[in-house]
Amino acid sequence: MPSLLQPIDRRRAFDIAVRCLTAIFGGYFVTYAAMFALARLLPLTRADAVLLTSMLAFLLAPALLVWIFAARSTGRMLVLLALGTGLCAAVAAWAG
Amino acid sequence: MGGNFRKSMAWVHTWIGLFLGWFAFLIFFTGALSVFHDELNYWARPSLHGQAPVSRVQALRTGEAFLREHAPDSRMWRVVYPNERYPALMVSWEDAEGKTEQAVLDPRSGKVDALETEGGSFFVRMHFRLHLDRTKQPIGVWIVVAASMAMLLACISGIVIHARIIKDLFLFRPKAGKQRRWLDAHNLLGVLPLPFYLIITFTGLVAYYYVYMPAPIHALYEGDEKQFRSDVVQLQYRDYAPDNPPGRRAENYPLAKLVERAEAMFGPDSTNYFYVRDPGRDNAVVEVWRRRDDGIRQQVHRIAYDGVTGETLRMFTRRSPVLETQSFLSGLHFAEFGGSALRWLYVIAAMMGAAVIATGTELFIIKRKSKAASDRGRYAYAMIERVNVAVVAGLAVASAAFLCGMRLLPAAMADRKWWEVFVFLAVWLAAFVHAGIRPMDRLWREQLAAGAFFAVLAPLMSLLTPGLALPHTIRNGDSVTAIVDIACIVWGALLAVLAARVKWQPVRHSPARAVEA
Repeated sequence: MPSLLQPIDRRRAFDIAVRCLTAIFGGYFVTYAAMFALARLLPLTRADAVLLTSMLAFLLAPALLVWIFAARSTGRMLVLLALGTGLCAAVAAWAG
Repeated sequence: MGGNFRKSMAWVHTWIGLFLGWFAFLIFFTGALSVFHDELNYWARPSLHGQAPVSRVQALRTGEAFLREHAPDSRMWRVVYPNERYPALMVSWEDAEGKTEQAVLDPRSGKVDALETEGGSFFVRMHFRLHLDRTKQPIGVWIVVAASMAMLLACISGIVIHARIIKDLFLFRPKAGKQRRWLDAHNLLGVLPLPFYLIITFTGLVAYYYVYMPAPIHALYEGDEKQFRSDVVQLQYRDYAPDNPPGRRAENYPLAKLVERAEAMFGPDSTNYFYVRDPGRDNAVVEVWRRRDDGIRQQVHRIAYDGVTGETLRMFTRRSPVLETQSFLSGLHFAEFGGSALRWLYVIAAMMGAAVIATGTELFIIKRKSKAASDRGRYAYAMIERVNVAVVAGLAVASAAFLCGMRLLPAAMADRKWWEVFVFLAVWLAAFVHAGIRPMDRLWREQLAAGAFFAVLAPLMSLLTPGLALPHTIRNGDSVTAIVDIACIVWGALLAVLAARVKWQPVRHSPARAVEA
């Protein structure tokens, strides 16, 4: 584990940067897409569907963040996130 | 990162703690103070003190008389009765442009308390949006969301790191080495109230869900937040179209009678406030709201009456398991149930939360600075160390100075609220400057001592305010004011003890030793 401002190897630095940016923006974006789709799928009244998915969002988001940092391969993690978002978008379009 | 799960979680715990820990500290600290925002609001208004309590019927009449005189043409009235935590009468109404105006009244005489003050609500606004406007400066809300996510992630990664979590519960070695001691303190503070941290952070997000995660509202309501909120809580007083004209002038059904009828249904002394839509018109509607502090809930019963005939129009009866769950979770966060004993537990747990974050940052520094390999590295750790003092001790100084400011600023001052916030920010900024220029071994001591000074100064200021001196409030049974003053003194004493005992030791540099995670 490198100490602050110590030289660290370039590939690792790139990896860390990608994962941090993915966590900050990607984590929210994927959660957003998932909840957008789920809200349209749930067989509840509109208000209830909004309430339930909002609460689930705060369980999904931390789980996603843990996985973004813990996943073995950065590339595979990015591909899976992109696929997941695409799937959510397709479901949302189909259900809407 | 990647590979070993525990190692990657240790990495996350360390760095997320460093980058968002200071915001999380601010949120926990101001959250602890927000628990008593009503009491602090009352403490900040000298003119409300020293009167015998009035009956609810009398308070209601006072409010109605005030609104009849000052806002006869308003399209909305709201009257909140005095209660044990905030024994003042609050009325609000809509002006000609539809903007809500508010006044705090003496429930007996109806005299307006003209004092402009932030009160304890300052800490609430700081807690959930860093005192920034939600629509004009949404950055405040976003930082709070990021810090909340960081807190959840820090809890989860903390659990992963400490597989021996049960053992850590009882492990404290104050005589061990400096780093061990900080680590034990951090683990102790982190493990024992861990369920509280997880629950309070999660429920904080749930309480304000429609701002933090608007995706479902975008999916099902085309982003119309107002329509959604009106669906979910059935806000009767809002569900008329704004261009819907007011009716003709008409004699209205007596408000006191309607409240009496609502209480016959909900139980004695069970209502909290009421709204009147188009008061004094033939289309008037009165909606009476039940109180929420006798159960864990945010959504409460309410009942609407025709303002002319007094006929019952509808009751808030919508009950779905989903809404009940959300209501229960936000109720847990707002801590209005369970009385003051429970609120003190919340304060203590939230302060422990602030402390676990502060010890975490200190641990980060102690663990690494002795092993910094370069001058740049040593400089960076020195900066982090100084900023940590300014954030942790500096916030204690600034918040206590804020209380003094509320007592000290002249009552008739123009833009008084703005100056109160200015006092807070100026003192906190001064703490940063102080942390930047003073020798490191004096920083903690001097800032903690300053915090103790301001914390004790606040009740001394009360001594100078007529009717608010501590002996006087104790004698008169003004327990809310007395307890705020006593809590300030105890807090000041605690800070003074910390200031006297804190020792900062420069570390010997041993760059040869390997740095562990």
